Amino acid sequence: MIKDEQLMSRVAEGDLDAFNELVRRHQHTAWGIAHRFLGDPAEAEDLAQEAFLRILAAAPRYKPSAAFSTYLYRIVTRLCIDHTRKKHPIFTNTLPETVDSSPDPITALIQKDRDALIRKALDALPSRQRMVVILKYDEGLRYAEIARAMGTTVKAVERLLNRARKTLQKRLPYMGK
Amino acid sequence: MRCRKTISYLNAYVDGELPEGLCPILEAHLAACESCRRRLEGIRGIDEVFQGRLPVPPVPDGFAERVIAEARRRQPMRIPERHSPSPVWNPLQWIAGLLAPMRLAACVTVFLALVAGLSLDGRVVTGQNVFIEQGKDLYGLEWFAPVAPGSVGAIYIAMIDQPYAEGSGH
Repeated sequence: MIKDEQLMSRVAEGDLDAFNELVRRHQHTAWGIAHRFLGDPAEAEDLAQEAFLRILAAAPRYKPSAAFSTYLYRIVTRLCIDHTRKKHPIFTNTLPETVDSSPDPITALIQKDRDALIRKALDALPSRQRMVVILKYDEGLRYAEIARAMGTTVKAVERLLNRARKTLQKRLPYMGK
Repeated sequence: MRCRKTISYLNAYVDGELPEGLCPILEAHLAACESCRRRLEGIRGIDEVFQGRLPVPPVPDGFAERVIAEARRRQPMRIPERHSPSPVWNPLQWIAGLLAPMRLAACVTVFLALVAGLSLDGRVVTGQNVFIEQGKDLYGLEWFAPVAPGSVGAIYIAMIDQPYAEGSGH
């Protein structure tokens, strides 16, 4: 199988078939991150599409100093964070201030409500903390990979993840216990 | 290891990012500190909640096709490089740059030269002398003032009248 970096070299020469192959290989990743981050399917598709088009435009300048996947993460992450600077997440207004603190609330929640709460808690995070959570839990990236994807340091990733976890614990106090 | 230091390492410890040498030290503190153990449990609890739990629908049908379609739309048309054909030598190209009267004069001059050349080598279908007479007419020499004896014009006319020299093959 042709490596992603080789495909990018062909894309740099204007080979749209190679670009098509890259899209098919990585559309799940781009779409998954965008959807988890934004929560809206239409916006997620637009953003994922824009990410690939930016890759196409930048192909002549691409240097395989890092894996293509890192490059893709970087572009998708940046687009996601920039997107939230322009508009608020769709669930922000509906996030409750506190979760019901009645005894054993987890048994009273059906899976649908649980996922909705998780979604809302995630959406309430600042954009960079939200992105770290997504890259950590859903993409399974290590700190160094997250740092490269977000264009920051490992220490900054640790701080963002620490803050995100503290906030999530406050908003979801009985989950996970 | 103090609690403050331990707490700062808890996230990396849970995520397997802690340098190996620190793990035993951290675990020794955790074994002895309930407060730090509770913090560790809180982090692990969130991990269990979020680890792969965010539902994501499948990629929309036709996503890749739409990306390619948009890519084709945005990609500028690439005009294939063509090798410019060698310019064809056009001997009359110089005439195009001349004014109309000059073009006429040039044409007349060229014509006269051609006729003079034909007359000199004698390859004329009709009689040689007839041609010469015709040549004189063609030259339009009657339009010119009579040439002075001994002048270049007189010599020229004498050449026209002169029969061909020996060895010309006619």
